[in-house]
Formats: sequence, C-alpha cells, structure tokens
Amino acid sequence: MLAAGGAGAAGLTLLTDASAFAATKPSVKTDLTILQYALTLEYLGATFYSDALKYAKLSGEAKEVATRFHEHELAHVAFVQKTIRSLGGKPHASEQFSFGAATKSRQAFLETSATIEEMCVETLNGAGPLVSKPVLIGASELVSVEARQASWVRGILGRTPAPFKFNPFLTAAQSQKRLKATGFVK
Amino acid sequence: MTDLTIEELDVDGAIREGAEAVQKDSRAGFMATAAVGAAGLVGGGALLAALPGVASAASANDVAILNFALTLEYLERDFYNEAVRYGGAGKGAQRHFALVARGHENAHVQALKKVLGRKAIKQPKFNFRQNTHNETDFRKTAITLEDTGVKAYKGQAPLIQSTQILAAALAIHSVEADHAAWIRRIDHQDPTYTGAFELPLTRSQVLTAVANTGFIVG
Repeated sequence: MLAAGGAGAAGLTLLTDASAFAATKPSVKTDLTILQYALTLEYLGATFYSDALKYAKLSGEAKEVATRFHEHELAHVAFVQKTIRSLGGKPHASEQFSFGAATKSRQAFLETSATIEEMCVETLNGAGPLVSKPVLIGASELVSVEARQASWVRGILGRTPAPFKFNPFLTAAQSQKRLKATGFVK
Repeated sequence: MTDLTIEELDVDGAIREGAEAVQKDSRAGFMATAAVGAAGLVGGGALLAALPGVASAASANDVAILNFALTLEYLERDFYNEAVRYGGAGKGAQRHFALVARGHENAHVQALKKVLGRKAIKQPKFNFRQNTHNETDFRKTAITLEDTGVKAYKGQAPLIQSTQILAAALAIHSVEADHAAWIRRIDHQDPTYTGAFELPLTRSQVLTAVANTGFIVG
C-alpha cells in the first residue's frame, strides 16, 4: 500500500474483488479513495516528465511529448486536487519518486512513458464504474488524453499505437501492484 | 439524405428520461442487472460477452445508448472497410492503420450486437463518397470520425445505468482515443490536440455532426 497519508487504504479492499464491480455502490468515501490514488499517478507522471526533460537529453519529437505531457499532467494534478477538495477531502502531498535509468535516455524515457500512460488508462477505466457520476465525468475528460498520449508514444517507438480492441482495466489492487513493481515510488 | 435524429434512436423517450434520472441516483438500477458473476477484469469486450442475459436485463435507457454506439461503430467499420477496398486507405502506415481500426470497430459492432440481441438497431445505408477513394480525404475523415467517436462515448458514459455496460463503454472509449491519436500522427496533426482535457459531446451534438457528413443515406 502507498504510504501517502489520508489515502484511505482500508477502503481499497472494496475494489480488489472483480465481483465488486456490480456490488459496490458509489460513495464519497470511495470517490476520495480512488481520487487520492489517481492523484498519486498524476504526481508520478508530472515528476517523470519533469525529470526526463532534465536528464534524458531529449530532442525532436521525444522532447515535444515530454514537454506537452508534462504540462498535461500538471493540469491533471491540479484538477484532481480540486476535485478532492470539492468532496471535502484533503489532497495528499506528492510522494517522492526516483526514476533511475528511466529518465536518463531517450529509449528508456519513451518505453517508460508508454508504460505509465497505459497504467493510468487502465486504472481510470477500472475506477470509472465505481465512482459517482460527477467524478466519472471528470475522470473521463482525462482518460482519453492519457490514451492519446500512450498512442502517440507507442507510435514513436514503432509499436502499434492501438494494441487492443477493448482496453483492459485494472482494479485498484492490480494497479497498485503494478506501480509498486516499477520501483519508482520511494 | 436522411438525418438520423435523436427521435429515431429514442423510441420510447428512454434517452431523455435517462438523462434526467442522472440527477437522482440511478445506480440503484444496476443491482438488478443480475447475472454479473466475476467476469474477470480482462477487457470490456470479455465483460460484454460473458454476461448471459444482459441483453434482456439492460434498461431501455442503456439499450438506447448501446444502439447509439452501435450506429457509430457501423459507420466507422464500413468506412474503413470501404477505404481498404477502394484505395482511400492507401499504403504502408496508413493502410495498416485502416486495417487495424477496421478490425477493432468490427469487434465493437459484434460485441454491441451480441449484448443487444433482438434490440440491436439495423445497420444504416452509408455513402462515403470520395472519402474512401482518396487518401487525403480518408485521413481527414478518419480523424473526424475518431475524434467524434471519443467524445460521443465520453458524453454517454455518465448516462449508462449498468456498471458492466459502463465498463465496456470506457474500454471502447479509450480505444477510439488510441485510434484518433494514431491517425492524427500519420497526418502530421497533433495527437493530443485537445490539451490536458478532452470534453464530451452530447448525443444531439454527435448526431448533428454525423448528419453533416451526409454519410448516412438510408
């Protein structure tokens, strides 16, 4: 579980069971739990692109995506923080991240960008059916941007930009496991 | 040329009712869409396909939304299919995009038809004119269709009552976004042209946009 304070980790057990998809009624508590986790992913993305711009010696299209996506993630951070506050919550402060080699070269940067963006899309898609309508509306404004970002980066890498007929989704537990496996969260 | 109006899709007023119901907690309805089972969180398509009885259990509201989506998927699938046949898809990277997108849209059509069963709307007649023959027109049209498709799904998502159907709609929504960015990049356009946020279109706005293409002729 992530160490960030106030993330309501206990509530996440609601989200680990596949059948919870149908059984969970939206609530402010669930909204806040999910939003705090989404905030972690946005902090991750914003810091990743910022670090890549500093260390990866990017140029051309790779530099363009780092610059653009950094702006987008900063806007997403602000948006999620604002949403949390509007629900009466307190956005947790950013985690500390360490990206190691992932932000030191063009290739590693692009591959990691694709991984992070995919993780965000699949997490948001998993969370969508669990949150209240206003939060869903907000999340859906972000998720297609993350998907476009993932597609763009895959294209630069020479991978198929649209690998799935239906994008997979992750439960909160699956997403957290994936995040932990990156080793990026200190 | 026939406009496909909201009235044609909203046979019993369910769409407009559904929109108002959003104000209240319409989620209570999803508990009744039984037969859920642990469908395994693989992908929206599997979710749709693995739910026995979901067609009969889907509310009139959701049926209308699914048929709206199906109409758009028919349109995209046939557009790509014709473009491959008549040469608008071109060669190389552009053709590869058209082939992959066609496969995806066809999968979306099949999944939606399966959920809807007898309630599936029939495929309209299309006329894509030179847009499936000319490579430049193909790219421009594909961009328009994909961008619009993303915003269409985005607009409908909060109106869907069944969480299972919503999960599938979100899975498709992000695939259309993958497509949109892909063809934009092929055309040297900005894949993330909306910036940090992408806004929805209402059903009415989408139907107007589609009517303006003149592609639906019967």
